[in-house]
Amino acid sequence: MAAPRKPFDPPTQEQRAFLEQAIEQYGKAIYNFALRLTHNEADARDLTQEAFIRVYRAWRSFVPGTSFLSWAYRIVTNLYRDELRRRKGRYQEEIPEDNAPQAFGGQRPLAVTPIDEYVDRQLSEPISKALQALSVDQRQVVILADLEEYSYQEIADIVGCSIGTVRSRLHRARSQLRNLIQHYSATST
Amino acid sequence: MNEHLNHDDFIDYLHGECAPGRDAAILAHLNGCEACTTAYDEEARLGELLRAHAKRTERELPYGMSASIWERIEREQTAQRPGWAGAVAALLRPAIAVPAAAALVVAAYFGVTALQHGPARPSIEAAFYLNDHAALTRTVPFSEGGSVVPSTLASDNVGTDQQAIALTGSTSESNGSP
Repeated sequence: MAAPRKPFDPPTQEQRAFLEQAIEQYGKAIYNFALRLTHNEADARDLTQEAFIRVYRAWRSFVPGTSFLSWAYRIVTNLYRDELRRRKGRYQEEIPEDNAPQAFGGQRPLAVTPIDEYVDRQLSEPISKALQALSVDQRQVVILADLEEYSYQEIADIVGCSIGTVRSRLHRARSQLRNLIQHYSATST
Repeated sequence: MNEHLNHDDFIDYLHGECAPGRDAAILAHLNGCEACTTAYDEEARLGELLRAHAKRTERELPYGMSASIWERIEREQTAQRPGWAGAVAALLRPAIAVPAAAALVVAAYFGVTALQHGPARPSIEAAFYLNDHAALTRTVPFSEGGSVVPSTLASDNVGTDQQAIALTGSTSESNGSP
């Protein structure tokens, strides 16, 4: 994933420790956020890697006491937007391989709760398809509002838009999701 | 609140984004309206489905991701250490490149101007003309109304000066001066 290069300052022990801790504590969350945005494992890996490089370079601009994840999500969001612009919206999207039932020999692993089992069996694929069908802006807002449970203000800060835009995107996205899930559920049965 | 609520109300309510008064009014309405409660439950269910789906599809950070991040950082830092390529790159920095380019432009301008005026004419030293003039004067007597050697050439022609002084002196004597 190409990105404008900025010269590294000589690394310090503090800087290295900052990145090590960031990867250890938030690596999984950032990778999953990238995966939900891109719906593509290779792109999610690249996006995560690039995000941590940015975290390393800009570690001094992180304000202690503020949410590291919000800061990191903002970096991921900006990188993803730049990449989309670079590719002119030709981001390849694919259904994650592990989602395919054949990956488990036609059977799913045991679900943790009954609702998980139900969702997994009945709605996982329609939901996945419906999320992919949303526009990038709408998907970002749904992920941040419904999965990460950020407030509208926090989402506006991460995405870089107004609260009103967040609200309207979320309303439209959820309306579309309802219809799309219904549509994909009907076509898959 | 007598009017029914819409999906936008439910979404803001679910995300805790309603003002306190509005929040209380929605809650009061939901407690007394079965149709709105059903619609609200549908909206809430959508959020639950999304979270359950996210939980099911959550992945661990890919193996080797941390190592590949550090590897890339090391690689970029190594690439930025100064070598011959770095020295060349340093020369191309604006602080050096801009004055150098300005000097080149000035040099090019004067070069073009010189070419437009044609080749430089051969120069002859002024002393040559003066010496030539003195020599001519010496060989052509009485040419300058009695002054044989110009005073400017006096130092170059000591012998001639002496002759001139002698000649002038003899002239004044012959004129009958006291």
